[in-house]
This record gives sequence, structure tokens and C-alpha cells, in this order.
Amino acid sequence: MSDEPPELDLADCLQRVRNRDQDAARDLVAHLFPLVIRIIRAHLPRRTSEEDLAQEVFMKMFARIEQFRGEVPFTHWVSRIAVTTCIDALRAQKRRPELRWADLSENEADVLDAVLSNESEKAPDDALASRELIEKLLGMLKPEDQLVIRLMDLEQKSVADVSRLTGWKSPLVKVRAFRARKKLQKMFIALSRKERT
Amino acid sequence: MNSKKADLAWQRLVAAARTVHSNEETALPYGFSTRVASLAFSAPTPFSASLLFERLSWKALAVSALLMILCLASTLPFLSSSSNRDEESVLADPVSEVVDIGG
Repeated sequence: MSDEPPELDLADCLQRVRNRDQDAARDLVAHLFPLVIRIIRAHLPRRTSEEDLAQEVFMKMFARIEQFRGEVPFTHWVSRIAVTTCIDALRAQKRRPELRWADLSENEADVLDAVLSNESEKAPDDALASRELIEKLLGMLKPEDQLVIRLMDLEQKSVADVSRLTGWKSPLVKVRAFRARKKLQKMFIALSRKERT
Repeated sequence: MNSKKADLAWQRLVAAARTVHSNEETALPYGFSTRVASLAFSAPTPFSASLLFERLSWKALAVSALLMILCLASTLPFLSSSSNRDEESVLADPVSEVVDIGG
């Protein structure tokens, strides 16, 4: 499925929204919903309602629509609002202080065992458990670090893409990614020293 | 385990996680757009310093322009009449008359 929302005359729609046309506002929400919900799902803190967060993104969008000057595509502008809203939601959550083997499910522990002990390049078989394990590991990082790792490592976005989505300068993106990976390495080393329980 | 091996472990884990394909529905929930649109328009207009400044600036410009026109309109007859009076006072100036007589 394409990430691009369905066709809509955005310029006309935005003008109508600025004139407080509710039909245009509904069309705009319908047009942008797939884009916004994908961003939220990619960065969503687990226990947050994605619909509530999507509503928050759209409310911010409408509140700031007068400030949109058309210097970047509108979808990029909305993506940035969605990303910053996700960071705020992540900030509101408490970070996991430490990850122990006992915190992992059987499948997650198997995956961790495999990646820690297996020297080959081969990825572990259980993709879903790998994903869950990554979520738990990322839960120990700062929101900005979580975001940069999700975007660069999981979604394989470039530094320029991350910069565009977050509004951070490229050197800052690189520094954050470097530091976040260092922290992840330390976590792996700490876990490898502990006994599986 | 050293840093290099830890990084390799992370790369393997990420490679496995990337194979999870999200097939979750992205369809708009029923009534979502209507609710959001009505909420957005029922909310008071957000405070924006730049917008406020812009609006006040235009109002201030209009008021100052009006005041300038009113001032000009009210002082123009006085200015024109006072210049006439100046000419009259020059004509009826006793000092100049004395100087003229002296000359």
C-alpha cells in the first residue's frame, strides 16, 4: 500500500479550511488520516490510544494552519506535527529503568539468546518477538533517542529524512543516533553478562 | 561481549524486526473526521503573538492615517488664514513704517 494519501486539491482545500469550511476540514482529515496513523503506530507508546493521539495531531494542525506558509509540502508539515506529538506522548511515559531476562516472554528471551550467542549474520526467526524485544529495549531510551532509532534502523530512513521529519539539524540527528546506538550496545553487553532466568 | 558484537546483535535483531509487515487497517474510524472538524472549529482561535501584532499593526496604521487626515483638515484653514494675516501684519508693521520713514 502506498504511503501517499488519496488525491485532493490541497491548495483549494486549505483555503476553504482557512475560511472555516467544515466540509473541507473533514476532507482534509480523511485525506491525511492514513499518513498520520502510520506515523503514530510507528512511534506510539504502547498504552496510548492511537485515535486520541491522531485527534491531538489534527487539532494541532487546525490550530496552526494559519502559520503554514507553503515553504514545505503540507504532508511534511503535518508529519512533523505528528512526530513531535509522539515525542510528547513518549515523554509523558516513564522510562523503563532496567531490562532483565525475567521481563521477557519465552519467545523474546529465545530471540535475545539467539542474537547474543549467534555469531553469524543470520537474523532470528521470530520477527514478532524481535519486534517486541526491540520495543522493550527502546523503552529504556530517551524519547528523542527512541525516535531516531525507530526512524533510522527500523524504517531505514536517511539522516535527511529524519531531519525533515523532526526539524533537527543533520549533525544533531547523527549525534543522537550515535549516542542511542551506544546505549543499546551497553544494554546488550549488560544483558549478555546476566544469566537467563 | 564487546561493542562490535553488541552492534552486530542489534543489527540482527533489527533485521528480523523489519520483516514484520504491518497490515493494520488505516481506514478512517466512523465519525472521526466530523468530530475532529467540529472540535477544531468550536475551539477558540489560538493566541498567536504574530497574528495579533499583524492585526493591531493594520488597525494602528488605519487609525494614525485617519488622525493625520483629521489634523490636516482641521489645521489647513488656520494655516492658510494665518499666512494671510502674516502678510497683513507685514503691511501694517509700524517698525517697518518707521524704518521706511528713516530711510
